[in-house]
Amino acid sequence: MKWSPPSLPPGPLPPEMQPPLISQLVLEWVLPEALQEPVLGDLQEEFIQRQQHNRQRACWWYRRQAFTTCWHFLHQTKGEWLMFIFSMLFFIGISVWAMLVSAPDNPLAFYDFISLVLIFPPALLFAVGATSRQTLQRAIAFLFDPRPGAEPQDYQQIRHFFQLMGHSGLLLGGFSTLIGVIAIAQQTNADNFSSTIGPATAVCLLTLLYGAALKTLCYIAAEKVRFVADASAAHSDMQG
Amino acid sequence: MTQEKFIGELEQMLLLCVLQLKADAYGTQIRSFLAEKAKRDLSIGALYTTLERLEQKGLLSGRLGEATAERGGRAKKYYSVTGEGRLALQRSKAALEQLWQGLALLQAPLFSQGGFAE
Repeated sequence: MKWSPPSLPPGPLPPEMQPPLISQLVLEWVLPEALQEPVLGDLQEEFIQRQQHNRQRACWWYRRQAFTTCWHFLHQTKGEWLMFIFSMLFFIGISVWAMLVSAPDNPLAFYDFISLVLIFPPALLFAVGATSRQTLQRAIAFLFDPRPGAEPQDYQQIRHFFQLMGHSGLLLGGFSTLIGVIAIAQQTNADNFSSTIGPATAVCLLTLLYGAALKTLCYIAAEKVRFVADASAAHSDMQG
Repeated sequence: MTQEKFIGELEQMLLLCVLQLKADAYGTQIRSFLAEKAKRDLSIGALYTTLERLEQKGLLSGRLGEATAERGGRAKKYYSVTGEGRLALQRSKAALEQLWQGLALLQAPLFSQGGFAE
């Protein structure tokens, strides 16, 4: 017995007959370009057949197929991306662990909301201001899909964006620390010196710590852009 | 001899499915045919990973076909077995026949203490 394609009314598929959208989007992101058409088409063909009996079951079937398909292709198409994200998360995880170990009695000793606001939003705004909103969009897209194939100029701009954000973060960290040091110097006197100098210095150094962390992450991202740009150029040379 | 391409069981099954389905061998049909004839329910991901591997080995060739409404306007990918694929199947069949010679698995006692009984 051969598979018989389901019969459908003419025109585009009504929304209530469409397969689960998120699964489709994830599949499009994970599958190699050459396989997107046949795999998504096959899944949709079988999904429509199944949903004629029970839509809920058909949706579960589609999601299961999407999950196993992603599992098969994730390493092949997103292996480098996974390694890149893993290295970033590893750095953040190790840093948090070191912070918790250094101050076991007060786990929030390294957290200060004002210091975070002083570093991250201005660094991002400086980078967007010095480049463009399109470059920000390209940089975010690169973080989710660092594949070769873009124009060399695009890679240059994305790398410049990350470098700018990292430098800005570090400079803002130094600048904010100076503000803190001046504030401490103004408000410290012989009476409160021993009780305030320690906690106040710690809080003022937090901005430098956040700036250095942002600089490190941006440095890795910028180097990743350079690596992908080199790979893309080498691939173009081979084809040309 | 070392240059010969050997194929695994699933690869062999898929090549045979493609041969059986002739001009109609695309993902959904292959999956359905395999489930019906070999009682093997393969996920789409596993199916295409193996088909891609066979294509890379040069045992299968693929071409994009027509796009239809029930596929959301997406094209089918039709596969056909190459000459090299047919040779690999023949080699595999001959090797299995050699290995099966003189064996009657159903009549043999399953286990005796310490291993297979002669």
